[in-house]
Amino acid sequence: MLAWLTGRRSKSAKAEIIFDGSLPEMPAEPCLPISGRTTLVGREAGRARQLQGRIWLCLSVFVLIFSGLALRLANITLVSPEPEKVMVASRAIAEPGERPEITDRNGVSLALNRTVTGLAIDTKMVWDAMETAQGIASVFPQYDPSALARRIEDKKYIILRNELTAEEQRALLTLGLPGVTFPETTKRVYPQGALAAHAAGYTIAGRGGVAGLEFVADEHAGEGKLASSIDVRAQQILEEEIRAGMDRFKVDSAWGVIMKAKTGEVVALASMPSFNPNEVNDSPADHWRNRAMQDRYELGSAFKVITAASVIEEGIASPETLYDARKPLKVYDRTIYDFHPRREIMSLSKVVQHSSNIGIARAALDLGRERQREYFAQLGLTEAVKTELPESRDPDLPLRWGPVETATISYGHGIAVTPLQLTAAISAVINGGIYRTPTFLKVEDQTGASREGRQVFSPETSAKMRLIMRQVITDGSASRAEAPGYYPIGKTATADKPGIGGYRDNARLSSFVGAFPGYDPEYVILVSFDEPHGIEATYGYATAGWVAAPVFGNIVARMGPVLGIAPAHDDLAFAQFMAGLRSSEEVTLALNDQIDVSATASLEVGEEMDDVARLLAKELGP
Amino acid sequence: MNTLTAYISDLRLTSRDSMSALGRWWWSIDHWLLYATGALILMGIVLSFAAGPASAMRIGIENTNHFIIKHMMFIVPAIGLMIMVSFLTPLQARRVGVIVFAVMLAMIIAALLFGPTIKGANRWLPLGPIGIQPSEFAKAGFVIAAAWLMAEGANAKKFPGGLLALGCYAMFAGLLIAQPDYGQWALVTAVWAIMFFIAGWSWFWIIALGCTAVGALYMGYLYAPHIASRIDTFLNPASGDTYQVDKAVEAIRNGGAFGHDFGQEPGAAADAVKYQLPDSHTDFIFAVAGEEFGFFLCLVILALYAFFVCRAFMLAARKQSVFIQTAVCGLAATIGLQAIVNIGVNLRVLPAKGMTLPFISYGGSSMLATGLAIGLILALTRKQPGHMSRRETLA
Repeated sequence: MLAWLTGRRSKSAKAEIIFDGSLPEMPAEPCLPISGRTTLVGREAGRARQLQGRIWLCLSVFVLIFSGLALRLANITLVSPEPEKVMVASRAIAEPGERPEITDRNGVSLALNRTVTGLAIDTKMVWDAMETAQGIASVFPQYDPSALARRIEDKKYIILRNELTAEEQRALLTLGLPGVTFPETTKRVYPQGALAAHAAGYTIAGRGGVAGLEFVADEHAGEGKLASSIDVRAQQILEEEIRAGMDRFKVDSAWGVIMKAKTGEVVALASMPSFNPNEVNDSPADHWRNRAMQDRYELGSAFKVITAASVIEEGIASPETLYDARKPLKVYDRTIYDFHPRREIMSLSKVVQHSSNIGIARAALDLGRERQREYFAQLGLTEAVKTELPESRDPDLPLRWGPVETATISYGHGIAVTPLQLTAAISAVINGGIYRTPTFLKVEDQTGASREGRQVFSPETSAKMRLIMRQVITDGSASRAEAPGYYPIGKTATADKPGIGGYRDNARLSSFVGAFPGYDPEYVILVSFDEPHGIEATYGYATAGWVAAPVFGNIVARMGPVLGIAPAHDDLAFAQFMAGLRSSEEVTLALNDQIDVSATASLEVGEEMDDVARLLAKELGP
Repeated sequence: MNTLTAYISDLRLTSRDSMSALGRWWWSIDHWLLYATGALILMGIVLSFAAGPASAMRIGIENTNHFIIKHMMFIVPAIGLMIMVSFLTPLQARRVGVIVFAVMLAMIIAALLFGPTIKGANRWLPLGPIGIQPSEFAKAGFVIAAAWLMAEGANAKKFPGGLLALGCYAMFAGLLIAQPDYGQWALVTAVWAIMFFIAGWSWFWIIALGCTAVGALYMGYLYAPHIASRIDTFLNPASGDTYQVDKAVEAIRNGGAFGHDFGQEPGAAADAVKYQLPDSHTDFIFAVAGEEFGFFLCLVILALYAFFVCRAFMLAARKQSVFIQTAVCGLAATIGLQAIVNIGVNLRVLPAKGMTLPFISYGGSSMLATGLAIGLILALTRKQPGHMSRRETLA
């Protein structure tokens, strides 16, 4: 074995096909032309020379690739500018002492300053290094007295602890050691801990607030409290329900946003896994990321609502317009399928209720690329959302926005936006048609009139969309989102996650975006679960109707009472749903379509109808 | 001065003449390859000081020097292995390569059956206190074995070398996919294709195999919708979680031409993007180099790999043996492609794939395997030593 390894000739090595004296048979058809040598060795050398060309060819390709990488490197480092860094560098940073307290909308503190006492040694004042060291070691046994004594002799000033308890300080004071000092510093504390961590943000010494509201706080130095739009009660409910959903469906990451429909204030924002801003470095960097604002996702079918609102606003269709969803729709080289095919001709309203990709793609093709793009731009979906917070991300729009893209974008495929961005857009669909950029600062005027907004849809279109989205819950894919008395409206969105090299099988994003109360929405809510796993209780399903919709329903049911929204009576709710519609003709049409907003039972024609008519008359006037 | 020059030339003469084992090694080895390797090793050590503490902090290891120390602990045996292997004659190198391939295949199978599942893959085989990743070592062995079979196939018509080399590939590729490790699989496939091309297989075979591969992909595209959507999304890498790669580009951009000076203040330094990069000491060390030292150092790293690959290919071109040509090109291509994929991911021109930067990234198996591969290149590219039999030089 040893001889074999070291290459000494041995009998067993005969199989080596190296020139061994005897001439083998000539190959009948050589792979490569052979220069006129006759021995095997000569032939191989000749062949080896033949290969030089190929080697040089490969070498050239390698050189080309390396040059390409060098160009890309130069492009990144030398050519493309870095605007963000410039902005951060020129920012004024609040001194630790004058950093304002950050509160939620009701004055509950999210971040405040606390003076803490540290422990330091001014070594010039020390009489006896060993005695001092032993004294400190008697209070803090983790210090080795002789090592500490050496440090005291070597250094001028030693900071030992940043924070002392009162007992520790007392114990040290009674020792009466000269040179032992108690410097006071200002520390930023976050009394809510991990609650609302991403909205609160955190600071880095020397850089001020680098994330969340702490970033905003730098601009409000010395101005007293900074009232944010966050409501810790809503935040608590959102985080608890999302966590419960995560445990139930074995989800690693999830996020949620609650916005005020009328003002655009962000009332709660959750990104899981979260972190404790008091101990930022205890969590991996991945947890600091605000998934609801810094990540973009293909959020799927929630976009159907936007498409439907656009075609209604343009007068191309009404909720009753019929679309053929009997067969998969072929758009150029792409075929569009339904996830749960119903294979029927259905109204636009049903298309949204049953989440038919085919139907909504047909509607989008009627709308056309230009108008689709214009509505997306109006709804803030084509560029990064600029809130007060530093976190933001550009949307990922298709490179080529052609008919195929128009069709797939209509149901949220091939466009990736931040969850907050989508929430703001959906808010405009249901709040009477006005888009307002989300804000994290408290707005006094709760009608929203004081905030800049743009009318994207008419109030009538918005009212029709509320009805359609109500039917998603009463009669469509999201029955588990119901919260009795609050008439929630919404849309499920289950999206296949794009992975490296394609959409991944069984890796889904289950989301629900909705609002309550449905007849006059106050709060818009979005919740998403990243890669949920089906469980027995859901028959193995991990789609939005099973995962995100019930979480949404729970949030509504808990938030309503806490935030002072009274459950409404069926008749009143129904009347308000109808009030937004333009004419009594449309109301009749809607009634004929068997609208069931109460969800308790279908409306019977008869006495109840008279009640409704009376209520309507009151609402609509003579 | 004169005496000094005389002394040096004297020294050179004596050492060249004396032909001690070490002298023979020194005068037959390719110095340029050796210098380039040395420069890469130095670069790796310097960068471990930049990335190591950040990674240790992120993972929550108390000792900030943890990764620096481990880097040193791995790089020393890797250098030792490289030098030992470079002493081998081509024949010995071939045997060592084939044995390594066989043993490592067995270990990959063992890892698949008994190894722990880490991040969803069975790549590691625990051996006592340490874990090794046999597929890293198998790559170098695979190149040698395949080169041997291809060369025999090219030389002796009767010997089905090409088919056997394809068999080797199929076996290795199958095991890599079973792990699964698609990054390594793609690398091995590319290296095999380069070797097949260099080994002088007729254009007929190259075109036939190429057509088969493209045809299979196209049929998949036409008849399997999920493959189609995979390819579509690959061409248009849409949304999703591109956090790491985005951070890497941000880090490189931060560096500018000469690197970002974070000063001595610990708070400011903590703001460096490298603290936010998972795997900054392994897959994204190039981004750390960019942030810390800037464009010119990154360019030097790129140039070193390019130089190494070119030098190895040029030396291979001059050789008289199909085996040596194919093996050297295959090994150099392994190193070069690994560097290209790693840097390409850092620069966001390739989809994210975990691949180490040879001799620079942290990782014991990767470093030792790189030592083995470069040692084999050095051994095979040595100047034909006159004392060796033709048999040993495989000329």
